[in-house]
Amino acid sequence: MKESKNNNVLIVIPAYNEAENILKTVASLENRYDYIVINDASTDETRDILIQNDIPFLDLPINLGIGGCVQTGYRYAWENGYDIAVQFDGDGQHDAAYIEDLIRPIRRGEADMTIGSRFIEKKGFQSSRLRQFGISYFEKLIYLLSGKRVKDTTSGFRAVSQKVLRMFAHDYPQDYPEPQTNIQIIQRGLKVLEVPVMMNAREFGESSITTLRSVYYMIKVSSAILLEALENRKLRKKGGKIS
Amino acid sequence: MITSRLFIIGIVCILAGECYLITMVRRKKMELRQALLWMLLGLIVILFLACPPLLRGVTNLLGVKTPSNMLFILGFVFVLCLLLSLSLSISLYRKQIRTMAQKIALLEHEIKELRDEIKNIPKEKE
Repeated sequence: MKESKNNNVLIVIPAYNEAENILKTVASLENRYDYIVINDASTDETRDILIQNDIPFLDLPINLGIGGCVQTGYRYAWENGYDIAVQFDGDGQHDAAYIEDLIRPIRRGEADMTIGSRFIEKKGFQSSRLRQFGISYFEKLIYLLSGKRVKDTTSGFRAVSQKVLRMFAHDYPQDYPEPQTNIQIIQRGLKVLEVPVMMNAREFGESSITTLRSVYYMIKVSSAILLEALENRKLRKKGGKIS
Repeated sequence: MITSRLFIIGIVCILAGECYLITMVRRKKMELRQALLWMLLGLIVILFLACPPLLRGVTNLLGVKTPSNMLFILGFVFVLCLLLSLSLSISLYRKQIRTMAQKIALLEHEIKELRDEIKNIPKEKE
């Protein structure tokens, strides 16, 4: 088993109330990679299932939400000296078959972050129309501010290099982190690459974003992206003056 | 403007409030840091009560018509500032709590790993 294992890659699996999905998710990795599940203070049997099946996991004492949950995984990866971390959702939406595609460009030094994108080949589960509208709105906003295109701005299926890993371990946006991290990384002059993947619709459980929260979601993420753009403009100006 | 009865009631209330604050600080239920702001508020009100010309002066200075309106404005601004400082504190605490929770999760995992390692040591020797 060990000879084929990728020892420098860690799969980070955030899990909140994923009792129905978590075993399948972990099994789909087929032990090809080191992985760690982060239990975000689930209120169902997620924790018991993890213990019974001897699955390595980090147990958050309080619910931190997806941002703080994923960041715990990045911290673990950073502290344990991994070169690459892959965020892989515990709800069965992501397909382990694409992990290699995500990792490859980072190994070759072609990218610092790869995003598994549904919209390059437009295959598989494409999300609802309302969500697609939101996703393309963020694409345009990020393009406007940074000049770079990221099509699947909200995809949580992503791999990062050690450089980004270190950054995330120390500072990671909370609430709805994905679109914000995209512009963060682009603005720091790091390379983002989208890789075509297929995603599944969720089998069990609910997505973290409900219709009621979507308005707050749009406002919050938009202002976060705008602030990020401002922040970096300032940084660049300062850097210019010093040099 | 201010009747002597109101003056006495005001002073008594404020002094009682100040005593309460001091007691809380002494019983370690409140940090001096937080109490100071409230104590300062009491002192300012006493100052205005004891010295009506001061209140009138500030009212004229700010272009407010009546001293009572002026007091309402000042009170409102004070409450807003206080709320803002509370928001700032909450943000800080959220971040601190988050970091602590993450550290706990990481440490717990490390303890478990070390325990497993210790369990395996005698087996290897045999």
